[in-house]
Amino acid sequence: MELSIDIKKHLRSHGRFFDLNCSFSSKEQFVVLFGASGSGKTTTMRAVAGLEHPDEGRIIAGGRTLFDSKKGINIPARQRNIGYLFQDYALFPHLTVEKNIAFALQPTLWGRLNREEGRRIDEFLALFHLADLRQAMPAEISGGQRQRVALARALIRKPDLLLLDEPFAALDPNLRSRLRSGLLDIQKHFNIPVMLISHDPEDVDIFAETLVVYDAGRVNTVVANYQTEKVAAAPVFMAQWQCCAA
Amino acid sequence: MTNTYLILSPLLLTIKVAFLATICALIIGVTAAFLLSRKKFWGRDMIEVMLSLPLVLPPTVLGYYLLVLIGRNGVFGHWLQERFGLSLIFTWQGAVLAAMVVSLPLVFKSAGAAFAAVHKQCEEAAATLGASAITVFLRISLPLAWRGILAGSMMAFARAMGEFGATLMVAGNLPGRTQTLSMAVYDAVQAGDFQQANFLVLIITVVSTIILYGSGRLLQTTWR
Repeated sequence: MELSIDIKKHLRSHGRFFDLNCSFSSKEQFVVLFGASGSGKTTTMRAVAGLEHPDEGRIIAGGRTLFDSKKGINIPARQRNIGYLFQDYALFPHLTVEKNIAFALQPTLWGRLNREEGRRIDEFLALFHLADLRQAMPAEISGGQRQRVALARALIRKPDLLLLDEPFAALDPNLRSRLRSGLLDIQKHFNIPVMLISHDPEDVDIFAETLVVYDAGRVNTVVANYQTEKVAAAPVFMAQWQCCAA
Repeated sequence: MTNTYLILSPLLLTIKVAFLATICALIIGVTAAFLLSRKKFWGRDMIEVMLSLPLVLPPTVLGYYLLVLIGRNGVFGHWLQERFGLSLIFTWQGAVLAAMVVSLPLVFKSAGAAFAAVHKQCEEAAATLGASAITVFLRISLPLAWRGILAGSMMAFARAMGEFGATLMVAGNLPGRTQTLSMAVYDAVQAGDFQQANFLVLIITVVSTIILYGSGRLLQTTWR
């Protein structure tokens, strides 16, 4: 999918300033934003989802202009049709697994599902191995299960783009490798473009088709075609990683 | 035995006044608390102070302000009189207004705390899933905050039931018309009728105890 981002935002909190000034584009299916925490990755992603309002710039995804300060375009989050997986998944704590997913299919006041939609819920519960947990509350299930619920909830709307904010950070290391391959399977199954945030080099190694390296609110490096350019790009990337880790 | 009319009439009036006052306080308090917790605008802090002020001001001062506002020569009272021939002074509706103002901060404060405790990302997630602002409020924010809001409303009801000062100034103490339980206690003690006073005091104490216990229990259970 064609993704083109060029935004500026001045953030101020508790007397401290942060300037985000990021610009990159990609034509590939899997974009990984990599960099230290606080380098502006999440702010960028929130701007793509419509949860953050950039001061100026443009965001174009799949030929659709989501934001353009010059033309006065700012499509609200609810109309962007972009799936967002929050770092802690943000499941609705008062709704069962099934109702969490059903909300996404019918996000209206009454939220009544018709028979066809009911079948789709069943299909998704089975696909994400959640059939036995349909009546469970989010607080009662494990971290990996919560992630599956959040993914099912985001994907059942057939979004044009899926945003993942550090999807493996909240999980224990043993689970991570299993869920990574699970995520690749899901991405292939739905054939959906993904943008993922991580500060774990392993995520970059496995997922990145376009690698975007952040440093202090700026895009430092963009490597297109990362999976084949990996070896050539490694020195740049490793230097960046060490500077992040330090 | 004391005259049942002397007890029943203030009891029913008290329940009616406290109930209506709580409903009004609920609507105003919850709306204000939600807007203040989600929107940033100029004068926000001032509104917060104004809505919390009845908690600390003497009820007589509140009563005085209400008289200035809705009295026959008051800004709003004059308009009501001219336009509709209505007056709230010395009526039970006036008592509802006084009780509402006094109990408003309890709803407002607890609703504010309840909305602040709702995970902001849950609301954002709902928005990215296609929900409109009103759907997010009614299906996510409100269900997650309702315990705190209900607990605050119960406190507000108890406070409205016991309201004395502001109500006395606005609605007076007219037996059978504006005399609530707390007024009746005052009258009974003044008249030296301690049997009557004991009975009224007991009712108020029992009801208030039950309400406090109930609202405490409500706040103990959480989602996580």
